[in-house]
Amino acid sequence: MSPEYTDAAVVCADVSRVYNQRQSRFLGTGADPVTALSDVSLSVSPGEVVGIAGPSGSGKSTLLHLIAGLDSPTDGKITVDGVDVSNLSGRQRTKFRLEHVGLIFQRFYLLPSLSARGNVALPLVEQGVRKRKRRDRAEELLEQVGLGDRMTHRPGKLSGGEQQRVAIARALAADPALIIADEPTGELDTETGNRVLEVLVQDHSERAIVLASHDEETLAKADRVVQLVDGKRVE
Amino acid sequence: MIPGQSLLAAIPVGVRRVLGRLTGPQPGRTLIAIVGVSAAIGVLVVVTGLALGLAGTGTVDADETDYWVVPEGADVGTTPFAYEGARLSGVHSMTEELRDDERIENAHPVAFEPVNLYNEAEDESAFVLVMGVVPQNHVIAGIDTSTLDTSYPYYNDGGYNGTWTGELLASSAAAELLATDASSTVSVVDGDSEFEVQEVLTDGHELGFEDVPVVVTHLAELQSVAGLTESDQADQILVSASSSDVPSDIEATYDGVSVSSESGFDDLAADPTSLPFALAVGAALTSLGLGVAFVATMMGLELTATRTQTALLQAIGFTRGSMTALVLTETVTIAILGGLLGVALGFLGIIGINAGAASVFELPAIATMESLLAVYGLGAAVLVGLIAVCYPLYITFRTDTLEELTR
Repeated sequence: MSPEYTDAAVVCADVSRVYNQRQSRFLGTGADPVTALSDVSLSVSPGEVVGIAGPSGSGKSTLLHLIAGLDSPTDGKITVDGVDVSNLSGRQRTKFRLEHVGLIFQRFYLLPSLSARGNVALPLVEQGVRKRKRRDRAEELLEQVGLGDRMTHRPGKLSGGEQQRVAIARALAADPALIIADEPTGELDTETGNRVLEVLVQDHSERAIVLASHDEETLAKADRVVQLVDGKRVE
Repeated sequence: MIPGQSLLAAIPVGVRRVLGRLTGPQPGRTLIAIVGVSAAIGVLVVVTGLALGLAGTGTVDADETDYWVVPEGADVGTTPFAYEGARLSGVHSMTEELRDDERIENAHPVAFEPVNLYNEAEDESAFVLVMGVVPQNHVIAGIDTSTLDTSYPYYNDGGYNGTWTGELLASSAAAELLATDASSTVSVVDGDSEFEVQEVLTDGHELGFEDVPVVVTHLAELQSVAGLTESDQADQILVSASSSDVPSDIEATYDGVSVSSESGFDDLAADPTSLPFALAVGAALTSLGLGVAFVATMMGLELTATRTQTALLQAIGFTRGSMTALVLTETVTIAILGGLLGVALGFLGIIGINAGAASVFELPAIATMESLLAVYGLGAAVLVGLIAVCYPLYITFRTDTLEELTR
């Protein structure tokens, strides 16, 4: 790891991800190995917003999944908030995500049977936070993202922009050091997308944000943009 | 974080998810699962009620009876027909002692014996079940015995040499078999005892007596006919008492006796040859199977259709333990909702069956309805949920988080 990465929120050092790498010696080769990411290095400082740009299939989502601990690299090392994510077991990665990462997806992924407040409080449920504190925190975050009057609404009663703001509040609930946003405006019109991004990057202070998008306006909100092409970082 | 707190916190989330699905736009699968469990539990409650009823019809049941004192090891459910089995001895003195206990309002010894009776006038003979009682000026075992001589003269303080009354009350079925009516005389085949029919019972509805060839006479006279005088034997003593300590006190006082309570579940002796027991077990197994199949299938379909939600929960940090608590809560909640509905349906079914039996066949209540049945039904529903959860858990843990979120 390079010395200048020491205080970074996220450090990726020569990270590669190859799919279908393990093949049976007895049952043939199966599908050919696919290199989704190749020797990508990256650092993100606390409080920094880094955009990951690139066309479809360039490895943006793969990189985000690796940083978030949803997947493991086949080579290289990833450190997030001081935790080496590269070699964690599945159980350790689950705990890591709960404690260090807030996830925002293109499709929101809210639980339709819970209210906006219930959805926001989910990470706190897993953290064993008491009901009153969960409720207060969820309401505070919903106020923060401009949904103070929608707390008891279920996702089905919310617009796309409102649902994504609930998802942002959920990602912030456990106060993680890092927010990972994969195409956060992909399902929204331009105006709504811009409003959602403003909510996402507002007052994030020491929290690092890594967002992947192929949308120029979205990437314009980032402090700097890292370009990926065919799984490799290009300057 | 408080250890275990996240598991507890997942429980209300699970309940809210189920209720949310039910009140949401697509309640289908959850509703079907609940209806399936309710049908299974409803059947369980009805059939168990029938089994309890069957078990109860073996005893001389009556509203005023709280306990049955029977020989130890006797199946109270088949006592009237188990005349070859063990009998109580010294029943007259035991009855007196029981009546002396101020907690006991009444005690009545009862014996049963099949006797071949002959109506000489009509040249008809038949085996009928003779029930021997000590007549009182009130109803015993559902029969008004005041038309019998309440001075009970033949017993004569255990001498069995008092005045023979020969009084007999006959059910309409017995009267028909013997071609008798009131004031007819019948004699014991292979004996010299004679009885005179005092009344043909047309109002034995409570016991269904009019359809069964039963006659009622003085206990001492039946004992004399059946050779039960030497040890003063009878089959059971009906006891009405206000204290719940009475059964244990009786069992402690008298050797070789056991006391069954009015509670129907106590009548379900765990004897595989007992029809009521077999019915109850069959109903339990069938209902569990049906309920588990419904809940497991519907929850499996629900979780398959909502795998992205499972993946999302795993992605934001829900551990295997929390996912287990969540899915278990959802499955058991569905089973309990089905159980509540099933118990209500079952009770309605029992009311319907009893009403139907009374109006069509003029039978007394053939299925028993008691509060323990509700507890039993709900307990079975919880068990359904606990067994059925295996499949939803399998679906949950087979869900690939990344695959679902990138689909």
